[in-house]
Amino acid sequence: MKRYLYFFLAILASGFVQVSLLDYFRVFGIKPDLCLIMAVVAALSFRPKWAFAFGIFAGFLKDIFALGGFGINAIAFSLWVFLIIELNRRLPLDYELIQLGVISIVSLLNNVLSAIFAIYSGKVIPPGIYFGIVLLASAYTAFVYVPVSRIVKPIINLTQT
Amino acid sequence: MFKFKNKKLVFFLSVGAIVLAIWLILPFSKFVFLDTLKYPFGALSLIRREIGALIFFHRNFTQNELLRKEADFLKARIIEREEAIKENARLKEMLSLKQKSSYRMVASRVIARSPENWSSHIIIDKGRSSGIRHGMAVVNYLGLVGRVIETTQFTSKVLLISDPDLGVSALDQRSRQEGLISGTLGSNLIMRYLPQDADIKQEDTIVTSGLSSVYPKGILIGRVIETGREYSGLSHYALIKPAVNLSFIEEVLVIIQ
Repeated sequence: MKRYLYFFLAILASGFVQVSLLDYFRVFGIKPDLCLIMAVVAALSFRPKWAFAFGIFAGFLKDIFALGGFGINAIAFSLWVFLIIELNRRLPLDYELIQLGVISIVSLLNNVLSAIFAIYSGKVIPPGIYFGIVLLASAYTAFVYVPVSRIVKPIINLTQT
Repeated sequence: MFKFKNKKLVFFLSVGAIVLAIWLILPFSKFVFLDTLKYPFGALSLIRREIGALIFFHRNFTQNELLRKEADFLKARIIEREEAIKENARLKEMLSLKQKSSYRMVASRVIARSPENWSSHIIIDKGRSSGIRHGMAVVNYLGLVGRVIETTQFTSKVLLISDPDLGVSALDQRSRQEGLISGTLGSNLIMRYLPQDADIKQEDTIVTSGLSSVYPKGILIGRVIETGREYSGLSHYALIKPAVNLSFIEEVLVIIQ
């Protein structure tokens, strides 16, 4: 039970960092998506029910501070968790390099989905900035995944019974 | 492709129903969360400021010395201008012109920022209880910051001028050329659909035009850094560097009257 509680607190901490401290680490105005990283770590480390719950919570936390339709991130994150769980059944995702590829693809899909919603809601975004955000944000999130997962996974494994 | 057992199907349907319920029925719950999280976020922003002050000590020390010299210089200029202000007031009274009323403002601190890259907004620690309402203009001492788009009892969301959803009616202070400024999600703003003979040059100062009821007239927005022709060739555009560094604002003023 402790590992679930600690991971829940880790998601809360990632949400805090996402909306406050992470602005100091912007690269060309882009910051990584820590909430998405936590959802992916949940999908790779927990059983499906708990992974879903953590994924929805991470998306819900992001929705509280975001603009636009409430619940979009919660639904999107649960979808990514589901796809990762299904992929994990067919391919081993234990290696860090493979996980890096997975987070890159998931981050890219998440950014494309967010961009579609943004454009659908009427935002006019210059094409250069659109592609810059999609590609750079995905790459930056994948880059940050490795250190974040190395910090979080020992916390999960330490409390594993 | 995907084989489901009945139990799994029931589980996924239940999760989907719960998520749909949250999405449809409880969108107001985020306001409760925002109000609850206001104090931890306020504490976190204070800690972040203290850590920033320690890390950037030398930079702040050098900046402090320069600012002191600038303040002394400005004090002398203020004294010179006080005489001009008094004379202006006397002359206005003589001509029976109505005095401009000063704005009522509420100062507030930024406690959180946008969690995503597709919107540009901040969350401040004042809400409806402080008199803030949807649509109010937000400024700081340097210039225009944005507009209030959501309020709870104790917090508010402010859409920054760098967001493409926000359009501000503006004019060039020198040539009085009017235009509409919007954000680009980047570091600069863009003034679009200018006529081909628009008199806008680099280093021109751009201020709010006062045409809309939201933004008072004369608030500094930024300065022109580049002009050019739109891709269609039918109109011109101007890139504006905002006067306010939107990435690192800590405190803002909400114009409530």
